[in-house]
Amino acid sequence: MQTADFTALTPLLLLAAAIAAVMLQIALKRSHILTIVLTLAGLIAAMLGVLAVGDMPARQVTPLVTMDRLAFFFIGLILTATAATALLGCRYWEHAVGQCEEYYLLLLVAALGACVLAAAHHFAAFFIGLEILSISLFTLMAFARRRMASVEAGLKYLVLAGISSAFLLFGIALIYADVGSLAFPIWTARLQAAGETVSPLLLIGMGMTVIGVGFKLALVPFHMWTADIYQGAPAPTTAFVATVSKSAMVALLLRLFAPVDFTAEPALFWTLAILAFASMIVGNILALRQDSVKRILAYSSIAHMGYLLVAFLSGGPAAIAATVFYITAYTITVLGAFGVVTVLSRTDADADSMSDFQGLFFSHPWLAGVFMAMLLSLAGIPLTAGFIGKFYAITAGAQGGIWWLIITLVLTSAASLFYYLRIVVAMFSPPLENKTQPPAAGISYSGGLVLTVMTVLLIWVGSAPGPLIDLIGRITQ
Amino acid sequence: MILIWLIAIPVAGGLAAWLLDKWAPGAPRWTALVAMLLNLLIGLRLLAPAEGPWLVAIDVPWIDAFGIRFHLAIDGLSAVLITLTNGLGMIAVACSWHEIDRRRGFFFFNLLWVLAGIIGVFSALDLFLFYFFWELMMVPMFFLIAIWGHENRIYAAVKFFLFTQIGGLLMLAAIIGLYIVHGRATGIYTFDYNALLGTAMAPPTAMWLMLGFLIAFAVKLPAFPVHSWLPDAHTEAPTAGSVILAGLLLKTGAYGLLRFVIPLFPEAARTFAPFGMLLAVIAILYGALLAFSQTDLKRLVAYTSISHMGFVMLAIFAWNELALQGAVIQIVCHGISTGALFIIVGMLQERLHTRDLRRMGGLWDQMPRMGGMALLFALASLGLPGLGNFVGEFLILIGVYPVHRTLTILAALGLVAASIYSLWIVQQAFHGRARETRHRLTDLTGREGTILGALVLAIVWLGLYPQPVFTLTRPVLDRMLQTARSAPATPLKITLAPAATARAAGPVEGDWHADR
Amino acid sequence: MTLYSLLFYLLAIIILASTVMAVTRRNLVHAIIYLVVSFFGSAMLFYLLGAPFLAAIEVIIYAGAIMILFLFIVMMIDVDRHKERLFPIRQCLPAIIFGLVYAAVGLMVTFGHSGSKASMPIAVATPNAFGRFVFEHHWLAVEIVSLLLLVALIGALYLGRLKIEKSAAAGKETP
Repeated sequence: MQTADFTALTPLLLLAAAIAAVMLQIALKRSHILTIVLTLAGLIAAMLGVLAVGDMPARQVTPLVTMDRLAFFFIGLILTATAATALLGCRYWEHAVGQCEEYYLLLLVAALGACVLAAAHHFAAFFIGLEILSISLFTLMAFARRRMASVEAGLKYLVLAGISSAFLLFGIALIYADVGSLAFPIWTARLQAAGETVSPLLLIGMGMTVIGVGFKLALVPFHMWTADIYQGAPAPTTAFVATVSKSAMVALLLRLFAPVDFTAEPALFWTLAILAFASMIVGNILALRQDSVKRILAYSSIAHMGYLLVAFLSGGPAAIAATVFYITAYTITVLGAFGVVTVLSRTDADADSMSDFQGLFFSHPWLAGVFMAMLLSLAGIPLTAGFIGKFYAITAGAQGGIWWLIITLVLTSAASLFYYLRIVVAMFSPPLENKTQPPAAGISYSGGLVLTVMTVLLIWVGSAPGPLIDLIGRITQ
Repeated sequence: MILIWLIAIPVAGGLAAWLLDKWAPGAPRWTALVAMLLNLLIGLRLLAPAEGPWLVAIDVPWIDAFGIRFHLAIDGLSAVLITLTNGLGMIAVACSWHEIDRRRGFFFFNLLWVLAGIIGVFSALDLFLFYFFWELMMVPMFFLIAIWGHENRIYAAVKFFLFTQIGGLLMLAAIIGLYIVHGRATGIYTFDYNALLGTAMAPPTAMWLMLGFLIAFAVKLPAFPVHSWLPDAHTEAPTAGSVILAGLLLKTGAYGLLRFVIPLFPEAARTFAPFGMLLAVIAILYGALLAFSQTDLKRLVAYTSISHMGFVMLAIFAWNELALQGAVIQIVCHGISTGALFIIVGMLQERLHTRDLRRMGGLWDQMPRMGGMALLFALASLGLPGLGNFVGEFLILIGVYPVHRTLTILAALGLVAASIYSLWIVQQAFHGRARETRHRLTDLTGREGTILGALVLAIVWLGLYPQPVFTLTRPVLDRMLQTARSAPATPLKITLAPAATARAAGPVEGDWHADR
Repeated sequence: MTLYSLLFYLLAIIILASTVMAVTRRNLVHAIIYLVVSFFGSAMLFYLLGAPFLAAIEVIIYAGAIMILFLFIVMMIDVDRHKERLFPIRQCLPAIIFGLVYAAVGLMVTFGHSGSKASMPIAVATPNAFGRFVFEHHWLAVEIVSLLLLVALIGALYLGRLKIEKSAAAGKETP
């Protein structure tokens, strides 16, 4: 235990302090505003902490975590997404449940779990971080206790996350039995050295780890939970699941598998490649058949993780940078998209069916514009962050020479336009008669702020991605 | 700088039109008109003959990590097409003056942004930037069809977007493939057009990459198997949308073939040329045949576009100077004449509330001026000497003849079909007896007369004195022919007809097909 | 076969058998008792492998606290209603398939690579050494795990709170 350890841990310590502060505040006096202020203050302090120590040389704190630039970048991303979720939640929870201060507390703890995952350097940290994230997530999903769908989503996630954790734990045990250590570098070195003659223990352990990661990333065939949970969970929670949980898992994916040379390890490559292929195909096909906007976004997230894996699997020097860029662009987009869903939600149910969005352009032109920008970004149309992300992914993939995956990406994302356009078309169709329009007052300042920031970021990254690419380039060196 | 203005003015004008909508209902259209007029005037300055290869250019770094540059440049070909864009853009604004009565601000915003995207496509010399503009013009076009279109607009808009987007994504993959092939070979990773010209690659690679580009442009053109979006999109779009689709968007496909497919992949394109020409001839005949069987006037005009653009594709794959000159003239004249026909259909629909030919007839009595205009543009469309289209089609046929005699004869049949369906339009709509009792119809108003009058002037001028266009584009086409010819030649077997016929006709100047 | 291995296999059989019994019982109380037996077996296995602290924890927390809580809960709700199987028959098939796959994998792992098989040395970790190790090398893990417990507590508290307002309670009671 040295001072440098604590310096490196600054963002996590500040986040933990915020958790304690919010908990004490709730215990002493319940006040929604005060909780929000404390939460945001904690998150901003932690972000400042990231800025302050982010450029320091990498430092391993206990065998568990390594605070390097990659970790700090992902922690920054997670904190931003958490702050956006908290802001989105302000107006949403005000009327939805009676006392909602715990929501922010759970958000903060979940964010901390995600940060631990992003910095994990050891299977123990992986598992602990994952469990903190999962347990807070299922409470966050069931948070709207009045809605059966919400409670059901929480329960489903609890059971399925439990099963995936069991697989992961068994996998970790097998890896330990083979490698004799739980630290990531030793395991990747071992995997690298083994080449094609991997021992069955290690192979099965690796497979189980892939299952654990695949479950959280919702890769086909571990995607079963996604649609129900995206639809059932309250919209801010869905935004959180789709961004924080995914980006933490992507960080972990990079730590687990990026140092491995895929040409020396075909088993790993083909496992991940088949998952990517299946995710792109199945995600897009299932999304075509949906009528619920949240389900469409759920299946589209499956497909997007497939695209991300294409970038990751290219294996060249560009692979890590492309993956990081992709998840950043995706986070911005999804926060915006679920931001609109949240803002449009009523107190009794989320805006979900197509009819909730019909004629949106005529009643709320700006909201419709923002949502359209987000959908076009998901579809990968230029001038949006999503396009640069997809471009980066294809470039990385082409450099890696995985043309069959690129062609799959191109064709499936062309098919994906169909369901994104359905939502866009609904927004531009004439409004339905005698439909309860969401009250205009539903767009709070906090929600508006999030949407504005995300839209500006989306266009900025989409039109001048230079700075972000440079930043990621420095991080992934 | 002038290039930035050309794109920035429509972009800013579009935003202004949208914002001014709240302020005054008439403001958007005036803003749009002024913006396009300004653009046209600025654009006219580009039409001076060139000194170097590029008239004007701007080249600044954009995304350094990928070697992407903001590189716009214009040569004679681009200048002609940009002038066409500005001119038709103004016409499109003018013909939506009264037709659009809902959300005018947003309409003119979309209209101007499509135009900005098209100008960008015609001037981009960085392949990434080109793709950027290529996609950028698609989204506003989607909205133009989906919001202000006719009955079946959503279906048409989605179909249009899906078709072009699949093509676009394949092109993106091909662009990236080319970027990597070039980078691997030279160590310089760049999207710059001039740098990528003459990239050496294995024939199969070149073929695949060329097909990626080709599909995108063929969808836009539209070439035969991928044309099915066009009749729907043209029919359902509002008049201004149809004018821009037929007059400009289809031209981006031809421009892409001319500028990118053949210069970048001369060998692969040469291998593909016989199939390309065959597809083009199929498009000519098929489009004409289907046009003849339509009863919806707008759909009829849409199918004639397929037929006319078939000539352009035929000329491009013939790849000799005469044919290419013809293609350029055909591109410009088809834009004007088909645009005019769509405007006339729009005017008829405004008055009759139908596009059904079977419900028209005898309109000449009530609207002689409009009838005269319709006759003139129908004659232009069938290729009457003295009007621009004749020059284009004639040059194309002369240019293609030595390359492939059979296909030329088949393509010429398309002209016969064109005279049938063009006269059919005039006869069914304007002559004969009125088939329905109808109210008194007003003839062309002053605004409508001005719009059509301007188009008449343009088409007659191009028909009588096309020399300025040749002067501007000739150096460009010469250079393209040089580039594509300088690549190592492999003997070409034209599989569709005896090679002897082609050789017997003798290689014409700049012949790309003859064995060497 | 040494006494050590004899004990090991005996315990393994006990654990397996009692777990199977626990899963297949119709009576919830019986199932829990079998589970307690299984936990005791695991505790002894831990002891045998040189982890006395873990063995004690297993007995105190799993066999003791958690199972007793289960038992209380089962006793509080009406047990007689649950005469049907805990798991419907149709769920058995996938379970059996999974189990067989698992067994196959296990056999493959055990006998598959006999070449590199080297039994690990039996490390005896006294509670003292274990505590020192955890708090000196893995202090961060302890802190983070404490947050895990905290969030579980908060979540349970929030979801378990009887009524925040009337409508919430009404919403929960409708099945």
